[in-house]
Amino acid sequence: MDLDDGELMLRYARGDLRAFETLYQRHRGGLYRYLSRHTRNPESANDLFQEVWSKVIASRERYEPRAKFQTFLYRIAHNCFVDYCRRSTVRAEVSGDAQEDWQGSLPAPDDDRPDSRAEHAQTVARYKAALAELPAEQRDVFLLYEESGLSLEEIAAITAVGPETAKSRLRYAVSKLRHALGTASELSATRSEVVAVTAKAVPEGG
Amino acid sequence: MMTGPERDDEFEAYLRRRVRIDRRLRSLDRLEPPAELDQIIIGQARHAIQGAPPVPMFRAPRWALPMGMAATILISLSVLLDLGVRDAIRKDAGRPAVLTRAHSISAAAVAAPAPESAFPTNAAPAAIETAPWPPLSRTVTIEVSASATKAPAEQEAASASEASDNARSRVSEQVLATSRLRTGDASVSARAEPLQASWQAEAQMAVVTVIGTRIHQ
Repeated sequence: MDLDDGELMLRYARGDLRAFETLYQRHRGGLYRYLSRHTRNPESANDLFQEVWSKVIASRERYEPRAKFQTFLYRIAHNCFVDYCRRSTVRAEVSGDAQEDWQGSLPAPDDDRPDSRAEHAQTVARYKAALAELPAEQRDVFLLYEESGLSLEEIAAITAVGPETAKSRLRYAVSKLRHALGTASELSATRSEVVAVTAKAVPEGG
Repeated sequence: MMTGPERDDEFEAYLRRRVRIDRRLRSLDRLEPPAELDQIIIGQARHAIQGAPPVPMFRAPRWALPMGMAATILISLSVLLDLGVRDAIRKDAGRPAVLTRAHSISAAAVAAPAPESAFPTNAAPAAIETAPWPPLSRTVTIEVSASATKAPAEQEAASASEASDNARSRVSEQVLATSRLRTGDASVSARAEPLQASWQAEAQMAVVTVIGTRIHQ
């Protein structure tokens, strides 16, 4: 039987390490992606990831399952990231090296063909660029929505805004990202067509 | 290019589906923390609920307690015996004159048994009442607890003491017999028997004292 996250946290507070391991396995991926895409730097993401879980561990005895565990977890993560931005705004937001590190840590695409790999790399690069261009508030809401599985109301509570504000931020973020990815796809398709036409034309001309 | 808010229907569809904004980004789901980080965090969680490792404490060997108790009891007994022996010696120190008198009486009785006429008819009960039984000295008690391991000097002293003791017994028997014959008073023997019983009890106490002395030495 799958136990509720809150129940697992309570069990861990009573000394059940297995409960914590289950809880950790459930949320490690989403939390790590949330922090990685925010920071765009694996080292910073690792530090923040560990910091968040350390705070979860430290607050085990104060935890009360009044809300979903994800809300509790991502509130901590959100606050950690805000503190991180305050500490190192320039490095977190602007560093080109950090962006390179982040791209290098991305997994390979499912399709291992060279052209698919290249296309995937381009898509990820565009996505990354578009994400980086988003205002921090919109990016935060978008990443929370994509990675945490929380509802807009819960995201609004975490980011301390009203539900409509959160929804509006998410709407703008999704629109910009889709436009960036769609536009790039169209450009890529156009370029492919040009290449194909040129390839046909060259033998005929030669 | 202008990028305004999404159309409501597309955005609501995105909210309902809860999928990635673009299918091509599904590979991003495989981004996960390194295994080393997992181990660190699980280790932190374990450490938090288990606390610091217990500091090894000094533990005495298992035999220490009974050994200590036995030693304490032995020392206490020896101290008590020592005190008892000293007390007994102190008491004995105050009786040499009485002992000498008793021995001289015994010696006289052995050397020359008195004829019946030597004892006045009415003096025998008085003699029994007034002449005390010789107090026990250490020599006497050693003789009473006679064992095969006696030193030669002690054996000699013991045999001497035994002889005097026998003489003393004979004297007391003669006195009693004379008293019975002359006076026909049965109360004399009745008075003498408790005296003999007390002498035996005193001898037993002296044996214990001597054994305590030996242990102490």
